[in-house]
Amino acid sequence: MQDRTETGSKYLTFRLAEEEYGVAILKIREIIGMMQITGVPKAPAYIRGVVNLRGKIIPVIDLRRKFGLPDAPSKKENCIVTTVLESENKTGELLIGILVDSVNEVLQVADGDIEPLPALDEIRMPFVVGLAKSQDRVRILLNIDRVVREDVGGALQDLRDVSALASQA
Amino acid sequence: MSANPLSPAEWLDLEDRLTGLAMAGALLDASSPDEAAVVAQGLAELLAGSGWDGFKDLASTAKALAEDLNGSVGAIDGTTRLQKILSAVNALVRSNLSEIHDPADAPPPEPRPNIPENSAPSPACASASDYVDLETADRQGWVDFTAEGSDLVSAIENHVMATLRGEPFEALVVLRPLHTLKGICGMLGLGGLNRLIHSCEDALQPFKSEKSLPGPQSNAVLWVCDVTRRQIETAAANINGPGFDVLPIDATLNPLLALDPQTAPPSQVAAAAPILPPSKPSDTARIADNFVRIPVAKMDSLLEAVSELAICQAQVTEGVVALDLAGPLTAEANRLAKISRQLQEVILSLRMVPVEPLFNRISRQAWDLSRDLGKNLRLELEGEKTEVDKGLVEDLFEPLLHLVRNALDHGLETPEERVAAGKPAEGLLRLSARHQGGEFVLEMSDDGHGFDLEKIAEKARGLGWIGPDEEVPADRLIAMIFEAGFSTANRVTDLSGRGVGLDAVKQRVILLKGTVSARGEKGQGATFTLRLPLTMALMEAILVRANQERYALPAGNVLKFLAWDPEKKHAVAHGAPWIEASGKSLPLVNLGSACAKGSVAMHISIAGKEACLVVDEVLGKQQVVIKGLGELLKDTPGVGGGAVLSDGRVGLILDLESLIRERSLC
Repeated sequence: MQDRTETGSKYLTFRLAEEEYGVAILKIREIIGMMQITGVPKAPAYIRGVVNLRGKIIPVIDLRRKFGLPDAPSKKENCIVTTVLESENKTGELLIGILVDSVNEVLQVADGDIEPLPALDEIRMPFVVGLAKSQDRVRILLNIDRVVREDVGGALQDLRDVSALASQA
Repeated sequence: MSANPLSPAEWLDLEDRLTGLAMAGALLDASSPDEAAVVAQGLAELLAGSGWDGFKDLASTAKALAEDLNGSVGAIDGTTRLQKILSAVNALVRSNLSEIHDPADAPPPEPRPNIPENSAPSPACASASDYVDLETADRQGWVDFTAEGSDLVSAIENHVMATLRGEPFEALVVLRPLHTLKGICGMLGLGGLNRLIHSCEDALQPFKSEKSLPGPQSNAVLWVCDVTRRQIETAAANINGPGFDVLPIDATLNPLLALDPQTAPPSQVAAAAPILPPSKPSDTARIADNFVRIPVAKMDSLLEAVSELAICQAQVTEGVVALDLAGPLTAEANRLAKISRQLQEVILSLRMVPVEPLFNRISRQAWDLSRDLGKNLRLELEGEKTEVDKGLVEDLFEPLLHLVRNALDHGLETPEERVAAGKPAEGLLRLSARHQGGEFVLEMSDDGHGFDLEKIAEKARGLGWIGPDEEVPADRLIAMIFEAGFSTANRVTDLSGRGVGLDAVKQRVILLKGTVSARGEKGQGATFTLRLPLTMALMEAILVRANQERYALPAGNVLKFLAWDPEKKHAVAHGAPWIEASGKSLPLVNLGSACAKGSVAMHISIAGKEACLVVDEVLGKQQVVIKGLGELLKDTPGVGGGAVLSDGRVGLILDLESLIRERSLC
């Protein structure tokens, strides 16, 4: 396993369709089970709606839709991961919820173990921090701020190819 | 002084044991009356056993307290009473001990030096250094300076501005705060400012019984206010740091010098006059004695907590009522609901403040600006006491200031032009505030150029916004001045030429969920009207269901419910449906699923526009707390926010204006 004296960070890993992704744990506030989401008509498609989190109304981003994946039937493993994004206004903090298929574990990833994307892909997918390989599984580490704010639709297929290549390496 | 039967050693021993009890007492909390009883009992025994008569009364009080608390279920005031007894005992012990100690060995006095009442402290007290070292200085004194000082300066400024608007001058209203300020400056070592204010007081002496203050003196006082305010702001900005430099006062700029040629320059006056000591606290009329300063952030947390309480309480009440428990629990649940609602109302009303401070700030800016621009100004204020949400007061300052700048720069003519046009040389600027139709209405009007519709139309044609022969109604033309890219002024002036035009004002106001409009005829002046929601936080809402979702709309915008006949044909004009109702043709906004039989129709009105809104079902009327939808969703058309409903879920708040435009939510 990882050498504990190496610098690294912890990532929360979750599942979306057949891929596993990771988001820096410092960005995560909490994980809540699926709850009823109030839809907002005329909102962008990737925003499923809003929920009430102890008095605060936060939007819920459907990552499947963000990545251009088809909707899947709701399962009890589905979770909403409350995440803190950088805000564009002076309050400095934007709390959102991210809908994922299921949540896996918290993974310690040493900096040295993060493989950067091949050069071309890096430019086209700036929202990917890199790939983390462990136990023959490859997890795609995401910069969640960029994922939410940028258009990442078509990138999924490329991501899968890259990830498949990486796991063979 | 009763004789001391106790020896010094016994006193010291007593003090030690009391310290132990005091510590135990300090650690108690209100929910442990038994522990408090134990401490009280221990105290009683200690005091009784000391053998000193002076403790007899306190000993019996402590014993009585112990008996009270023993076995009581919960005496919240038990610990308070205990603390009282403990401090009384401590005071006695200390006073006895101090007699025993050699005065030379006495513990150091209070940290604050006592300033003798009527003697002038030596000039050395006025700190000669220009740097305030907050590590060693009295930081709390500086904090108080920033808070109280600001209020005092505002009080002076506001009165001078009022007199400039024609209200009678009362010297005391200005002299009292000046005197207090001077004292505070002296105490903090701000020698220069202390002397400046002193000379200001001197300059006002001849006007003590006058009903008006001449221009030069008014300007001088305002200048002194500015200087003081700058020092306050510097202190406030650095209050948490190690220290800061005192702002130097450029004596040559002092308008007081210009007033009386025989007046010696302030620096010389200073050397002669001693720095006067601060007046006794009872003298200085504390400006706002019945008020407490609370950081807005604390109030917002309070508001959030209260809203959550309201929701929780609603669910508890619902549950209790559903269980159908007749008797005390149901009654209590209802009482809880009442109290919770009361609490919410009070907390929310805390956010409402009069618009007066906003008007005063703007007045001051307008005044300075008018002098810079060489325009004579007469200011009128109306409705200063009108209350509005505190958040709004802060956010309105910039847009209003911009409108005022515009009016002074381009709206009002120069005195010569005005006289030539038969108007009084003084231009009129009027600010008014009122509540109307559930909205907060703010108007700024001037009696200057007004709107030259011809010029506006010409510009619009030049920009391609209207056709060469198109007839455009006045209000549509005037509305164009709020669009980006429009400007009829040959502006070179620094003030308005920042590229921040009326379109920026409109955007700001829209962000505040309000609207801005203007009207005015050529040569007759212009009036700008801002309409804003009365409170950002709470809304009386009608809850409706449409398409399996629940929505809320402001009850104030619902004029009445209409009979809805799904069979009835409605007209279609410009591709949008209209309906005849209440004797008018109303645009039809159908939120419901296909025109079902049970649908409900409402005649709604918002910002002058009316419509007929159709929904599947009306669920009821409820007071809801309005919350924003956040950065990502704030621009979504059709919805203006979210409300947390009684079951904890979110109900979207409809943005009626955009609904009327779009005619649907999908």
